[in-house]
Amino acid sequence: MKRFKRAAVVATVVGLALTACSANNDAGGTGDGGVKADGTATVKAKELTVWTSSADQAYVRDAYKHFGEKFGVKINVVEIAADGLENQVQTKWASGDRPDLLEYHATALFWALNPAKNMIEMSDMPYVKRSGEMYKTAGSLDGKIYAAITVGPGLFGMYYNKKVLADAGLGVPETYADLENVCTTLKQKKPGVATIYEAGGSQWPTQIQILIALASVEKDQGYSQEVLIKKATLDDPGGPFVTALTEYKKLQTMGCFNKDATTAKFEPSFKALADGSVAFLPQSTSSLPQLTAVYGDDLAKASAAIGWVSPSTGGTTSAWSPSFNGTWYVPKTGNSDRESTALAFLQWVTTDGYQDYLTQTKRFAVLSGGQAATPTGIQQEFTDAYGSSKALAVNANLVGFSAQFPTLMTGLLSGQYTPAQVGELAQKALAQGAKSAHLAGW
Amino acid sequence: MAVRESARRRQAGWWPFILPAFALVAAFFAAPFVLNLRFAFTDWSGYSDIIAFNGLENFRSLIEQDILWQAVKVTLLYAVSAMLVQNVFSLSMALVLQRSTRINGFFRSFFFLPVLIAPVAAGYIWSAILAPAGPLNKAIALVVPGFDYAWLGHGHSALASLAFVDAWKWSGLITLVYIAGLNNIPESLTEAAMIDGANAWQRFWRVRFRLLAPAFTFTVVVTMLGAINAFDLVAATTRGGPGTSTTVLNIAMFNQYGSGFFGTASSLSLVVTVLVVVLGLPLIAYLRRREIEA
Amino acid sequence: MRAKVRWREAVRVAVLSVISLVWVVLPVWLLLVNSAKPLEEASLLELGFPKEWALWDNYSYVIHDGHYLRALGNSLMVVVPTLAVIIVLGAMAAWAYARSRSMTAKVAYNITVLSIVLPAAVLPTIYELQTLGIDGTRFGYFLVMAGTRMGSVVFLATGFIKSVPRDLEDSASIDGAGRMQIFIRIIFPLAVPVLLVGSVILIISTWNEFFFAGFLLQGSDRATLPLALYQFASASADQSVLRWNLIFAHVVLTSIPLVLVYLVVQRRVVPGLSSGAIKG
Repeated sequence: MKRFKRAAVVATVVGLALTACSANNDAGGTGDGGVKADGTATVKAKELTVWTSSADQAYVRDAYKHFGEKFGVKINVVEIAADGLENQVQTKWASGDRPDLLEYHATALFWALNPAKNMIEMSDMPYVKRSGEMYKTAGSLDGKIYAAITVGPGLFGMYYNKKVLADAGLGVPETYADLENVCTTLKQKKPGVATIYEAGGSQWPTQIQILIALASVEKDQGYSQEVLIKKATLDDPGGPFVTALTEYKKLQTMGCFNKDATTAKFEPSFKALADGSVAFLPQSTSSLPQLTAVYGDDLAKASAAIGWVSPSTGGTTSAWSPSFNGTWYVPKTGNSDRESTALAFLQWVTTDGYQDYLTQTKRFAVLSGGQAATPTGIQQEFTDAYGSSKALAVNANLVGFSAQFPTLMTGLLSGQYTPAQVGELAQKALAQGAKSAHLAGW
Repeated sequence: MAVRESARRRQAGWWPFILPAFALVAAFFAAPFVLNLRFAFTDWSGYSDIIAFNGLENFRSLIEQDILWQAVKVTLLYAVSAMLVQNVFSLSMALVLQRSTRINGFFRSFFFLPVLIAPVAAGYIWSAILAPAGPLNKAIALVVPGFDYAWLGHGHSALASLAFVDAWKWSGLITLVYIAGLNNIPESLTEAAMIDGANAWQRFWRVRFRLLAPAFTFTVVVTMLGAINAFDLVAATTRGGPGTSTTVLNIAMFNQYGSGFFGTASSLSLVVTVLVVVLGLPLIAYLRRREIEA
Repeated sequence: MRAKVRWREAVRVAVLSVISLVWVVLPVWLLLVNSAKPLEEASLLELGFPKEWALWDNYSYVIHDGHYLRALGNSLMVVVPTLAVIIVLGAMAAWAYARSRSMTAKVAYNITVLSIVLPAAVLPTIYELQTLGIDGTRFGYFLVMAGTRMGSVVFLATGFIKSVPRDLEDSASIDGAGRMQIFIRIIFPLAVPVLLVGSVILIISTWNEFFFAGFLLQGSDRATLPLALYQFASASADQSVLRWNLIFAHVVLTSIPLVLVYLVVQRRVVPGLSSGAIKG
C-alpha cells in the first residue's frame, strides 16, 4: 500500500511534467490556416485580438477603431506594459499564446519569435512594392518579409536649444568630436548649462549618442553587416565602436553631461531643453509630440526655439530605425477566418485607410501613394536629414547585442565598465545572440 | 496481525487529507520546477523550435559575459545586507516593544505598515525619496549644503539602498516574530540570572539570546532566502541598473527571457535554486544545532 | 521610584516616536501628501502640504482611467479563493503530516516545505496552464498562487499541531468519531491562532504578487492591483513628466484594502504570534 502511494505521487508529478513537455513541443506549431497573403484577403471573423504597447501612439489605436467600425469587427486590445514589453511578448509567445495581430519591432528583435515557423510571410503583399528599399534591412529574415511597416522610421539625433548656442556664439556641431569644443565653450560662457542631457535612469536613451556617432561608419562601410559576418568585431580596441565609447566617456569626464546623468529620466528632459538648462538632447524624432507639448503643442513655436542635428563621427549623418508603432505581424494561428481578417486590416490600412492614417502620424510616408502632410518647422529638418545622409541604426540587426546595449551603456556611465570592457561584453552578447539565431559562421 | 492491519489502515487514511494540498503543490510548483531543470541544459531560445541539449554551454556563456558571477555576487551582497539590517533593527525593536502594553501595541502595528505596501509600490515611494532632488537629500542638504548625491545612480549606494528598503519593508513582521520568541522565554530563567548577579547586557546575551534560537533560525533563514528571491523591489526601482550593479539573479533571468534566451534563463533559475540549497541547508543545520544546545 | 520609572517610560516612548517618524511616517507622509497635489507640484517630491488641492481629481482619475475598481475586483477574485483553499486544504494536510509516520508523507511534506524557499518556474507554468486551456485566466492564476503558497501555511500548521498532544484526537477516535469529524471539531479550531498568522502572511504575499501576475494574466482587464499599478505607471509615454501624483494615489488605493484588513485582524494576530505559533 505504501509503495503504491509512493508510486502514485511520483506518477502524478511525472505525468504532469510530461503533459507540460508535450505542450512545449507543440509550442506555436499550429500551422497556418492556408490563407494567401497576396492582397486578396477579406474580412471573415467577427473578432480580432491584437497585442499593443501601453505607450502606443493614438494613431495606432484609432486605426483599430476605424477598421472595427467600418467592417463590424470587434477588436480586443491586449495592452502590454511598455516597460519590459519584449519580455512579456517573448514569454507569452513561447508558451504558444498568439494574437491575431502583433505590433512589434521591425529590427532583428523579432527574429526571436521564430517568424519562419510562426508568422505568415508577407513578401507578396501589395504594399511591399510601394515600400522602396525598406525591407532590405528591416522586417525581414533570410530574404522573407514578415512585417507590415506602415509608419515612417524614426531618426536618432539631437535636439538643440538655438538660443543657448547663439548666445555662446557657437555654430552647429558636425562631428561627434565637435561636441568637445562646444562643451568647453559653453562651460566658459554659460556655466549653468549642461551641454548634453543624458537620461541614465531611463536606460534606453543612453544608446542614442553611440548610434549617432556610428551612423557615418555604417553608411560608409556597412559596419553592422561587417560585424555580423565577422569581418569586424565590436571589441576591436581601435574599431569604431570602442572609439565612439571612448569619446562618450571623455565627454562625460569633461563634465559635459547633466549632473544627475546616472539617474535622470527622459521625461523631464524636454522641459530642461526648452528652459535652456541643457543645450543638446539626444532623442528620436518620434518624440516630437513630447517636445511640442512643452510649447503648448505649438509646432511653430517649438521650431523657432529648437533645432535638430546629427553629429556623427565622420560628419553629419542620421541613424534611422524602423518605427515600432504601426509595424505589424500576422501570427499563424490556424484560424483561417481570423488570419484573413488580420490581413484584410493590413490591406485596408495601407490602401483605403492609408491617407487618414498617414496624416495622423505626422511623419513622412514610408509607402508611396500617400500624401504626407507637408512638413513644417523641425519636421522639415527631419525630412531633410532623412533625404540626405542616413544609415540604419547600428544596433538594429545585431542580435543579442541590442538587448544588452542599454545595460552596458549605463555601466559605462556609472563607471562600472571601461570602454574596452563594454566592447568585449558587447561582442560576447552578440555571440550569444548570433549562436541562438543560428547565423552562419557563429 | 490485527494491530498491524489497523495501523496500516490508519496510515492509509491520511491520504485524502494530504492529496488535495499536495496535488496543487505538485502540479503548480514541483512539476514546473523539474521541467525548468531540464531546460537549464538546453539551447532553447525563441529563435528556433529545436530544443537541443547543450551541456554546460549556457553556463559558459553566462560566465563569459560576466552575467552569472556578477548576479550571484550582487544577490549575495543584497541578501546578507538586508538580512543583517533587518534582524538587528527588528531584534532591537522587539526588545523595546516586548511587553504587551497599549502603547507598544500601537507602535507594533505602526511599524507593520510597510509590510502591507506592495513591493512595487514601495519601490516607487523610495525612488522618489532617494531621487537626487528628493526629500532625503534635502534633509542632508541642511547640514551639507548642495547635497544632491544620486543614491540609485551609483553601483554601491544603489545596492545598499535597495537592501535597506528591503529591510525597511519586512522589519515590522520580523519584529513580531522576535517578540513572540522573547515572550516564550520563561521569566524564571532571566530572574534566576539576575539573582546570580548578571547585569542586563549579560542577561540578554547569555540567557535570552540563546533561548531565542528558534525564532532566530526562522527569521535569519526567511530574510536571507527572501532576499535571494528578490525581484519586485528591484524591478520597480533600478531595474538592475546602473549597469549590472543591482542585477540580482531573478532580474538577470528576466532579462534573458526578454531577449528570447529561454535556456540561459532557466540556467539562472537553477543557480538560484543551488544557492538556496547550498546556503540554506547548512545555515538551517547550524542554527538548529544552536537551538538544541540552548 | 515611581517618577524614575515614568521618566524612563517617557524617554522610551519619545525615542520610539522619533524612530517611527523617520522610519514609517515620512515615507507614508510623502506618499499621502503628494497624492493630493497636482502634477507639477507633485513632481517636486516635497514634504509640504499641497498648495493646490488635487485630491479629488487625482483619485477619481485613478479610479476611472486606472481601472481601480476592476483591478480591485480581480485581486479579490484571486486572493479570497486562494486564502480559503490554502487554509482548509493546508490545515488538513498539516494534520496528516504531523501525525503520519509514513515515508511518503514525509517526502510530500518536504517537497511542500521546499516550495517556500525554491523559486517557482514561470515558463513551464505557462505551458501547463496552456495545456489545461486556462492560460491568461484568473482561475489559472489562482491555481498557481494556491500551489506556490501552500508551503508556508502547511509549515506553520504542521509545526503547531506537532506540539499538541494527541490525547484529544485519540479519545475522540475511541469514542467512534471519524477522521473528518475530528478534523472539523477538534483540530481545525485548535489551529486557528496559527492559521490566522498564516492567513496574514498569505494575504500580504498574494495581494501584492506582481511577478507571476505579469506573465499569467492576459489583458489589462484581468490585471490585479499591483499589475494595474505597474501598467498605469509605465503608460506615461505621452507625458513629459512622470505622473507621481497619480502613481502615489494609485499606491494609496492599492494599499488601503490590506491596511483595513490588518487593522481588523491585528488584535488576533499578534497574540497568536506571541503564543509561540512559530515553532519547529
